[in-house]
Amino acid sequence: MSDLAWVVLGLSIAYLSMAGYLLSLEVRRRRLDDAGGWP
Amino acid sequence: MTRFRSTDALALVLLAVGFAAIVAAPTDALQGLLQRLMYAHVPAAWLAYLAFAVTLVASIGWLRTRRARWDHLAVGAVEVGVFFTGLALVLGSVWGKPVWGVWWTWDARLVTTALLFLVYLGYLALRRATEDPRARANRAAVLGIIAFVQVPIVHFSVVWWRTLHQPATVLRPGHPTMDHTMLAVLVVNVAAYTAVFITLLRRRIALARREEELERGRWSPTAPVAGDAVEAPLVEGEHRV
Repeated sequence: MSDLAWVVLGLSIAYLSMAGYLLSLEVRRRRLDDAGGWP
Repeated sequence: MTRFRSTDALALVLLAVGFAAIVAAPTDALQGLLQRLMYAHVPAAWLAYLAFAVTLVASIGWLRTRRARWDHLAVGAVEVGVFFTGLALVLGSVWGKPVWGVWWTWDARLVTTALLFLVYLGYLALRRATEDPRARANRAAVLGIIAFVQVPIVHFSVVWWRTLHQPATVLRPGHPTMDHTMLAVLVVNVAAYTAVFITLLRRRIALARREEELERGRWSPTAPVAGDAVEAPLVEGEHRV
């Protein structure tokens, strides 16, 4: 694998994992709102 | 959806600027392009330190005041800190494979960081194992204070032991040993990751607050822990005491 491919892999993991974690927080909050009967 | 705030917009802008800076950064004479991974790995590791420092302060705050907001801050900071620790470990591994030739080695910095990750995962497990909200916050706060001892151990592991991991180039006595342009790129990315940290922490605190509101209406000290379905088996003819 080329050096550029390693860099792209690493940065992709960084940005996508941050986006994924943010999304998971949003999903968890929506589930709680549904469980609590909030609109 | 959680309200989009100016800190969220700032995080997005800083991440974009940070990425552009990584692309434009000068290429390292020894490592070539691979050194650019440091602009993500180092901020992730520093943000993990910051998160656990926030947990330390919040844990002390809870034990002194018993105000729920401190407990929310502590659990939020630990979860975000575990995320950044995991990210630092993974990015270190992605860098280590092409540079060191291995994904993992039993180096003092790597091992102490992995232990840091596991202990704070244990913090989250401890919270899930305790039903009483007050007891849970108390136990978590004690662990949150004790576990912070690891942060200086991780940071100084490269000084105290002979390691394959390079010594500190910025968080050290005296001037940073990095090239100034590279240092500027690192600073921009640290700012970007800090803005992301604030965004994640704010949302995680809101989640903790919402969890507590729901729990308050549900939990009582005499309620069965997980319902009647998990009662211990009973021999036929005997009666439960």
